[in-house]
Amino acid sequence: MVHQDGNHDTAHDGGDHMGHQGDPHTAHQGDPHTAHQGDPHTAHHGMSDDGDDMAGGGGMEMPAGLAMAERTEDRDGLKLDQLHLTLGPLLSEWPTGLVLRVAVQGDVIQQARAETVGGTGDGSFWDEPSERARRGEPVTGGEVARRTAGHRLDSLGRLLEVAGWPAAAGSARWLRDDLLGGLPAALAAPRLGRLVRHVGRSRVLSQMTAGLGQASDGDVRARYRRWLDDAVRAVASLNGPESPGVVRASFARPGMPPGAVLETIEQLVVGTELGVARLVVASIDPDLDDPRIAARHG
Amino acid sequence: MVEPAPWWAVLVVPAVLGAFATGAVLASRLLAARASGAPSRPRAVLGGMCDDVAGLLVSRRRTTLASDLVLWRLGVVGVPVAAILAVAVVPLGHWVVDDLRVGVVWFNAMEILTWAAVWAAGWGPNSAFSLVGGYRMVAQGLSYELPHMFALIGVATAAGSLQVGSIVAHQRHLWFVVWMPVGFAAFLLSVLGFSFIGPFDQPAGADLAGGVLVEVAGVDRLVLAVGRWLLLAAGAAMAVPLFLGGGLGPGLPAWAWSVLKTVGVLGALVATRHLVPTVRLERWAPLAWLVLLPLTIVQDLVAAVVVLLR
Repeated sequence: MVHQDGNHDTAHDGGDHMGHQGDPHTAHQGDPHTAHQGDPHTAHHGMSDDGDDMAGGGGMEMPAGLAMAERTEDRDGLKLDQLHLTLGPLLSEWPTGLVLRVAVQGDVIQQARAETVGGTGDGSFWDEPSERARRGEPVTGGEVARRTAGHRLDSLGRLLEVAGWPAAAGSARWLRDDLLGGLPAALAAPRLGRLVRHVGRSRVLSQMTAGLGQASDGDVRARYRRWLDDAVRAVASLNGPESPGVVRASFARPGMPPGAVLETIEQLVVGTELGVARLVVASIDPDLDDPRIAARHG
Repeated sequence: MVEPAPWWAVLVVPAVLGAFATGAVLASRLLAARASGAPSRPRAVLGGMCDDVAGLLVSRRRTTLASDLVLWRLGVVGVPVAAILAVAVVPLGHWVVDDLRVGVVWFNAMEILTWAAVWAAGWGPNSAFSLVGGYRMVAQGLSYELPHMFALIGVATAAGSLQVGSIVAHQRHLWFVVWMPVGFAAFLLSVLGFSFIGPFDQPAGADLAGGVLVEVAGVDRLVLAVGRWLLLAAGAAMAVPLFLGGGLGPGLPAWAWSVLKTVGVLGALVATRHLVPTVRLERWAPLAWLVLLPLTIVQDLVAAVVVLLR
């Protein structure tokens, strides 16, 4: 692969060679780069100059030892620079510990591989009261409901921030903190009602999220609307005698194979623009402390 | 009606524009603090802003590997410079730095300069998120620019002039906003677009961890952030002579009317920022081209017919 690329064009030979030496090749060898090997050289030649400009140097220069972009076919059958990016594990409004290794052409994701860094795997903070109840410890229904409402608002805050609505995200997070801090139901319900009216009835948010990340449980819009419904139900049962039962994040249902959530993310983000991919990941919001999400076979 | 101000107005204009921008930032911070339960007393909000400005002034500038430093810095500085140059033709009451005969075109040219500046600021640091942010500005420009220009054309047609002072004079009996509401709305949307704030903040989107802002730190970040708000203030100030009759109004002096109207427009723009999430370009571009653009053309047709019949 490397030498095919490097030798086809003498004018750019040096530059290409050095570029590929700087490549982290171990990261790519597992990738299905079949399109790459079948490159017609003429097409390659045409794009060479663009590739050099991208890196800020001209021709022979190897800018700061950085790898040059590779070129592969894009979705329209053209040749386009391909760049390897790593999203996470530290990125604002990103699930803590999730690492998404993506190959992008422009701002469109071509390949994605989800990994995890950190994450205790000891169980999610949000499931803790229901786990204790399962072990037979005395837990009130209100305690479970409070944590569930907090969880939905936590996820909602992240999604709204990614959706570019910091004011609404701030409201969701404020209410989350107050709920976890013991805010009485009588005070929480009207505040949640305002948030639900504001966010749930936003036509722009609805238009911007409809049809994105379509999976078995619906799209991004369906997911945040379900969070709002869950939160309303949970807050309504804060004082109720009955337990709302074990309510979990939308994707990690009992019986789901380990790692299925990460696989779903990989499938959903391929072919999307970076901003859409961020919304999709935020709408799934995997909690890597949950052993069923972090564990991954293969 | 509108007359050239003395030479020292050149020094006053950036200060006035800065005051409007500061007010907009404070109002925006106040709304954000109230929404999220943070301290929202005026002193706390003012203190928070001063802390942030001081923090940026003392923190280090950032350089990145293999950056295009010249283009990067030019882009960052270009944003506030374009905003300040744009308001050279915007009258405050009776005063204006220079009431150019092609004032509308001058304003439009300065606004287009911000496309290039934001793109360069995104390209410069050799960083993927920043680069994507820069290109989003180009795509955004392609979506708002034509409706923006048709809105300006409607105003110029109605007044029969590209001179801002003459446009104000033509609104003595009726403000243009009354019979050109579509143009006014398109203009305000494009103000949010070229200052990449609020629903049109995708070039600096949270999904890109800040986009064109992601690699700028220290004083560079301050300059770029201030530039955005100066652009917003410049756009709001220009909406007043174009659609709201400039300094025309009963009782108060002309400059007071200009200030009041500008504050009103700026307030509406800041409120929009808090009421609406980011509008993604892939969904906005079709709307802009298929709905907004034809509407502004119809608006121009209306303006032309009215002028012919008058």
